[in-house]
Amino acid sequence: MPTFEKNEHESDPGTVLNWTDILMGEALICGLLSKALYIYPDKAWLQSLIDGDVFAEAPFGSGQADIDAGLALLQGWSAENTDQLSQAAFDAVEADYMHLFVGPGKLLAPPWESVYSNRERVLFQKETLQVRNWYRRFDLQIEHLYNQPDDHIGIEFSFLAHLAQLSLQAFEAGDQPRFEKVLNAQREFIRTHLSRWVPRWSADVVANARTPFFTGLAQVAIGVLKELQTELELPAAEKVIQ
Amino acid sequence: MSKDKIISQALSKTVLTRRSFLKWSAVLGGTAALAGGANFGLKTIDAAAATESQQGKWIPADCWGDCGSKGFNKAYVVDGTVVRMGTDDTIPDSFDCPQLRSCARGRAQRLNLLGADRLKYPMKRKNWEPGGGKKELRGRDEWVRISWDEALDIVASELKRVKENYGNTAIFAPWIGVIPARALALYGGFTDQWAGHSGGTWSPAGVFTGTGGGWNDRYDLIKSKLIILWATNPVWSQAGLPAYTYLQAKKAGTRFIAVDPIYNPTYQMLADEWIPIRPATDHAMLLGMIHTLIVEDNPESNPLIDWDFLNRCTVGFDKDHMPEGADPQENLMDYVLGIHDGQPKDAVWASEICGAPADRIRSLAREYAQEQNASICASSAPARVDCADSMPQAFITLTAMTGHFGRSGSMLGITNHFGTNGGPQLVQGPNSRSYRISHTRAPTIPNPLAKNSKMAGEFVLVQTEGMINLCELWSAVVDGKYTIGPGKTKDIDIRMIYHAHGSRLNQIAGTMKAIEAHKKVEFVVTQNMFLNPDAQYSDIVLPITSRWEKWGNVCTGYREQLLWHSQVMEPYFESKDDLWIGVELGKRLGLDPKEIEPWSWKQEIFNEVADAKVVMEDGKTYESLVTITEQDLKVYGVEGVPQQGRIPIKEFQEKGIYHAPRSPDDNNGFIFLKAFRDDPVNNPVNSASGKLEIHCQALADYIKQCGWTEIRPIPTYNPPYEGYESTFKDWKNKVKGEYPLQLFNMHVPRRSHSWSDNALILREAFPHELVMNPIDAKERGIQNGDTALVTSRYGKILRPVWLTNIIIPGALALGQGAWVDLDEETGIDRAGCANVLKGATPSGGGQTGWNSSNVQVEKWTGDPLPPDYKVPQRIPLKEENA
Repeated sequence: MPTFEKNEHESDPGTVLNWTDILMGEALICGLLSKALYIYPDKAWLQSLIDGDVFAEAPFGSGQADIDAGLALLQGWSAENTDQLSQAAFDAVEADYMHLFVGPGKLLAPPWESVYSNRERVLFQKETLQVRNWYRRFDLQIEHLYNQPDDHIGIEFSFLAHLAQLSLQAFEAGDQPRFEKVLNAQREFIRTHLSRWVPRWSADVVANARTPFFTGLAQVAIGVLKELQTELELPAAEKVIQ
Repeated sequence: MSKDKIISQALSKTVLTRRSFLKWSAVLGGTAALAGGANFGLKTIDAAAATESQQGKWIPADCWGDCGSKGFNKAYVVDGTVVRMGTDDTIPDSFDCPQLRSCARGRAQRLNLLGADRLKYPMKRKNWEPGGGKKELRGRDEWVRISWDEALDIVASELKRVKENYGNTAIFAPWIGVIPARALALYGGFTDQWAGHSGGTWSPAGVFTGTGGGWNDRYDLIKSKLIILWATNPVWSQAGLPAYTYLQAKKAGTRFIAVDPIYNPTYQMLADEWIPIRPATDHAMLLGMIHTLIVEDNPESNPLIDWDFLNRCTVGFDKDHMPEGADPQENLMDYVLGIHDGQPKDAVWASEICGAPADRIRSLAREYAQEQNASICASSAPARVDCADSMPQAFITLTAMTGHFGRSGSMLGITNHFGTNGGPQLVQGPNSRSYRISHTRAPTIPNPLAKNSKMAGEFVLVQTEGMINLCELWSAVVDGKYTIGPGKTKDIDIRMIYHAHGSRLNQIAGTMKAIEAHKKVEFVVTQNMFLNPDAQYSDIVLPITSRWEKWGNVCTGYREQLLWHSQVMEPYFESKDDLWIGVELGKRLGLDPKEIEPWSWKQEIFNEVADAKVVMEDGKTYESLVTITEQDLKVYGVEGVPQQGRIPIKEFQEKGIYHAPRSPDDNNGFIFLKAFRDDPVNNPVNSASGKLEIHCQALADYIKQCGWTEIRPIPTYNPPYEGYESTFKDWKNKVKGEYPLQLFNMHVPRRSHSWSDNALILREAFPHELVMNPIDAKERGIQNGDTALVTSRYGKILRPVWLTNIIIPGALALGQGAWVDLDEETGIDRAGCANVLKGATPSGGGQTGWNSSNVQVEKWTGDPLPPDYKVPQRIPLKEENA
């Protein structure tokens, strides 16, 4: 059981990851997944990822096989565009985003949980309501309530980033009950939502993406969930969608 | 691993991890942002607002597939999310007041509208630029998401550019509906289409001959002792009340005989006997029956013909009853007996064409004539045949000569749209089944380019100056001309196509030509909910809301119901309604938005509800349906005046449906043409003579004026371009030609026209197969379930084959409405779009001959087709773009 005392290792700072590192890293990596998957591709932001040499090092889960593999792809994509992200390279990312997540026509990797939870590929289902209520428990609401489904992959990772930050704040404030409550929320949200459908979604992206950018992100996404499984000592997910 | 090494690895991991924090924070706007959840889709709200909602409510939910029937659907909505569907349980079910229960399509509406693949954002074809931009890529280009502003700017600037350079006629907007047409009409108009889809040759026949057929009230229908079901299948095509009413007749002992190439589910439920006939040969069979009655009738010993009715109520049956000025030789009896051409149209002659045994043609004629209470209940399918302009008169003649018009238990019912239930509407309101004539009360805007246009975008059935016939939509674009009269064409230079509301490319004959046309023009825009084929071949796609996403809608059911549907959900992603698009385009084109949208949709629907009327007990006078108080006006936030009605407005809105009470002895009974039959002089029908015109000069003149083929004023048989006869290269010696089979189109339960095919559950439950007789399959080495290649003069499709004896040999049935999925390499459509096979070949009154195409079928040697439910409805992006 990971405990509130994980920072006991501060006697040996710099050698062992402590809660501060884990939660900060989780917030950052989930935040990046969120932004890259939810927000329509933006050339300036993609350029900033390259310029910032972001994919050289992982803030979370370094050494985890899927995260490493995903980052390697992203780093490769970054390296191909070192000088400047060409219009063609940007167009490829944009087109890939359209094929996978926007359409028109059949989406190759629909980015919503409910689509994976019913064989009719339908949005706005019980999973949507469940995650909407998860957000509400933490005084959050999606931007386009009722127009867009709450269970977008990017928003679910955004929520996880938020929970990681809340955990970190509780930890730093020494508020153990709050820390445990938020940490348990993370565990439960991952177990009942992300872990159920992201494996299948990630496989769809890997099978259909035409750029290393989205293949890389999908691998990082699955890696993050696996790493959290370890770090948060999660029970197995409920009925993983095949 | 040594302890040192572990420490060193851990150290490096930690250092790297911490070093990355700075970089990653920088591209995420700092870590603080994450804690607020503010950046990426989430925002913080007051704890008070963050209450979890579990309680749902039922909301009446519209359905608009234009099947012609009307089920009542409702949606159970929890916190803005539709979790399941329900139907009419507002009253106990009885024949007096039947519940309007949903069909499979109505129940699947939720799956359609919430499908992951619905259009979400305005989009632009990647390579489009003013003037076209790699037009050949239409249908398979990449797409880029754009903002509404950019999309509307492009559409407005293209409208301007095309208008300024080529004039308004260059803007082609075939049947876009009244609402999307408002802005275009104000901008100077557009080129539209004319001709009916559904009614076929009944449309002009109904205008000129005095009747298009008609139904008695359903209490009267069940008094028929004999019902001949002729080419009709309401179980599939108009699920709901029609089949239910027939079933009550069946239970009451009515004998049912079916005449059709296919023993469909309606007949499987009802029919005592099936008389198989070949597609598009109905006219010949009717003439064979008419001949039988003429030669066998003896007023004394064997009365088969109702001479009294013919004398009083018809013109043209024989030389003694001709309309003024007509050639006496041009009468029906002389034609049928072969007086002038030497060929009697007897049962043997008819049998050679239609395939029914001559004896059975004769005996059916006798059975029908001898039964006082006999009805023919048909669809307009036999009228959706090339050159069948005279066929409706043959039905009218047979019904008239046996006296089955205007009599209890007897009728000639054509189409089950609202049907099996004739008579005035007992609850009056708008009929907005498929498309709206609305804002109903808004001042209409005529299309300046169409002669006598009162309302742009309206459905126009008859030939109209400035409009293009349905069968020439695409040839007009490709060849630059269209027919305006006999031997006369008019040049036209179409530069842009504007699609809204319908599905022209897929649903009109000549889909292959349509694709060619779409690749020719400079600009194509489509507003739709889905990437239907119109949208697929467009440059700009605008996502629109469904009726579930608007404030409401009012629509009649059958005679007895009025439905008021409410808003079920918020607009899906960025979709907007048609009227909003019109207003926004109008602003960019310098038009007055108030003219386009004079008042809000809510006000419009409220007005319609306030105006709804319901019949009183006397069966004659009407009262307001709803009571409205001052308080109601405040609550709804609309303008209006309080009124007294039968039920409170709130009750109507919550239930969503009002059923007018009925009983067998009420004052609402109705017999079609009864007043005319009783006193034709004082109650004339709408024809030149005021009588039913077996000889109809006006019809013959109209058909001639359309410009393709001619008919005689009496219903002589004209073989279709592609009928049974044309399957032979040598008819006399019966030697088959290159396309030896006849394919006809069906309405299928999976979709209503091209609507609702997105729902995977419908795709799985109702396979889209080529229906084929085993005799035809055996000759071709085809087994049940094989994939077959079907070839016509116009195109090729692939379909799995269903071998069954329910279809007559020589005929094939194919459901209409599948969205074309063209393999550009081979030119083969894998989805089985019926209009890939059907050529646009105008005849007569400009109808489309969907019910007979000549085709050949062979076993497909390539990869077999997977089941449709495993195939995406749309894959616009082909592998070469990968």
